[in-house]
Amino acid sequence: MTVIERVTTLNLSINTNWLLRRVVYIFLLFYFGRLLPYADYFFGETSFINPNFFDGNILKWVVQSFNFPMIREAYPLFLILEFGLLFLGLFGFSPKVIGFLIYGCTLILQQGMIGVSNAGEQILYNSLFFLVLLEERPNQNNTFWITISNFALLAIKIEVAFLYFVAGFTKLTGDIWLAGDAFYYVSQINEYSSDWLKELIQKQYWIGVVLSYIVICYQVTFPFAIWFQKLKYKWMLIGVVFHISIGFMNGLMDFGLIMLTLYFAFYDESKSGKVIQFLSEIKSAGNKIISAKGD
Amino acid sequence: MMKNKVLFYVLSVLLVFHFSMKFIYQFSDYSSLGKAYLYSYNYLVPQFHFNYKVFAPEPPTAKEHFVYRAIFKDDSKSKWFEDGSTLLLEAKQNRFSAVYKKWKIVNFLGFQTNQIYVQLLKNPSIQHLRKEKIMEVAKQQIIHYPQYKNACNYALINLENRGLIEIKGVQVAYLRDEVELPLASKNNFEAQLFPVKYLDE
Repeated sequence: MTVIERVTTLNLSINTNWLLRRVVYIFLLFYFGRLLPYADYFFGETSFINPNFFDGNILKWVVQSFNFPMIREAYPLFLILEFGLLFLGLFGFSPKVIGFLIYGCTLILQQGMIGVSNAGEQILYNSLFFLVLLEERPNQNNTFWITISNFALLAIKIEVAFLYFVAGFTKLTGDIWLAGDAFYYVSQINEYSSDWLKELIQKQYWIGVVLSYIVICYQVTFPFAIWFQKLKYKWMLIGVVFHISIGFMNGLMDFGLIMLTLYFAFYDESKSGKVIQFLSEIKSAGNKIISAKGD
Repeated sequence: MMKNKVLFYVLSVLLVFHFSMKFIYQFSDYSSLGKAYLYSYNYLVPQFHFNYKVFAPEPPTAKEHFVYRAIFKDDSKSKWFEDGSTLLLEAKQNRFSAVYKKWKIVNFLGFQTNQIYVQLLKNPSIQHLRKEKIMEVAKQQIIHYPQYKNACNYALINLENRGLIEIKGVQVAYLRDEVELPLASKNNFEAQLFPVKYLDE
């Protein structure tokens, strides 16, 4: 079977598509959930985030509709809609339609606070677009959708690899990273550090140098290593440690969690299948407990 | 089969096009690529907007603070207030909370205003003037920018929330304290004081 035949006739990743979609939706529930106590601060009319400026393109007006005060005023409706759609998405209602609505709603909400968004959030809503196109129904025989779905998953993977590529290779063009001083600088700035880390790196400067080079090495090699079966899971495991550590040490938790969420795109079908099976076992065990209590 | 082949090639071209646009958008600007950059910008912004550099090419090298104070009706001034440190402390207690983002907004008010001010200082049409005059012109212009107005607005609301009364105006400032490398002798500290915004203006 040629590559073209495989990509156009076989859905190569039904389980991965199913799992990735759910993990992303769960992350979005967490993401918007924790913004709720401060929702007015981020989305409300009194928000101090500067509105974007229109350039005459009507599509941009829709995406950036929070620039219009009367729409911004209605932000609670958008949040309710987002949560409603995410729950529908989690339960698998019309995956593509709901997926598209989630993409639109998330984009509009995010554009309302684009000034303070980070690379993680940006890759998340770039990937949300491709997520719409993923096919998760096992009995789907429509080759049109199968092909699009296979390409969409590939696009998400390239998107993740592209982020590491940009972050890694751009660092190679800077003086501070190459000198090994980057981690020292970051550790001395309150917003990206902790008191203990600040002190540790001040006393043991070499740790900062080693960590700076590890970051560069990891980011530069990821876009290549991730396509090799033998290296993929090792790099992902390092990534888990890397992102969780910078989440706690440097405060970039959003970014780390989003990257870890998108790692699910690289899961093999068999591994995704095992995760799904594990989830369904938990579900059936839960059901048994509930029915036992009922008896 | 033919239909599948066509679809495969069309999607391949679309994929290559999409990521080429991203590549151009991330690694070039209008001065280097002109129209090609504009095409990529129009294709990607806002729906696919991104900046994946993540602390590159250089990491942040300074502690930044946005501060503000009140000017009272008797022309006296309050002390400087800073909200960022308290928010950061709160954010560090729970790394999963959204307080960090709240801090980012506050800090961004000062950062953006300073960015506009630096651009105004570099305005080619005023470069023939003396340094003091250039700064005076920049300060006259910055008061018309939404970023400055937004920062002053934030300051006013928070000063009132702190119970300050008889306020005639507010003043905002942005401080940059460069991190020193071990054994380095110089310490760069930059404080940018912006013009007072009077409430009756």
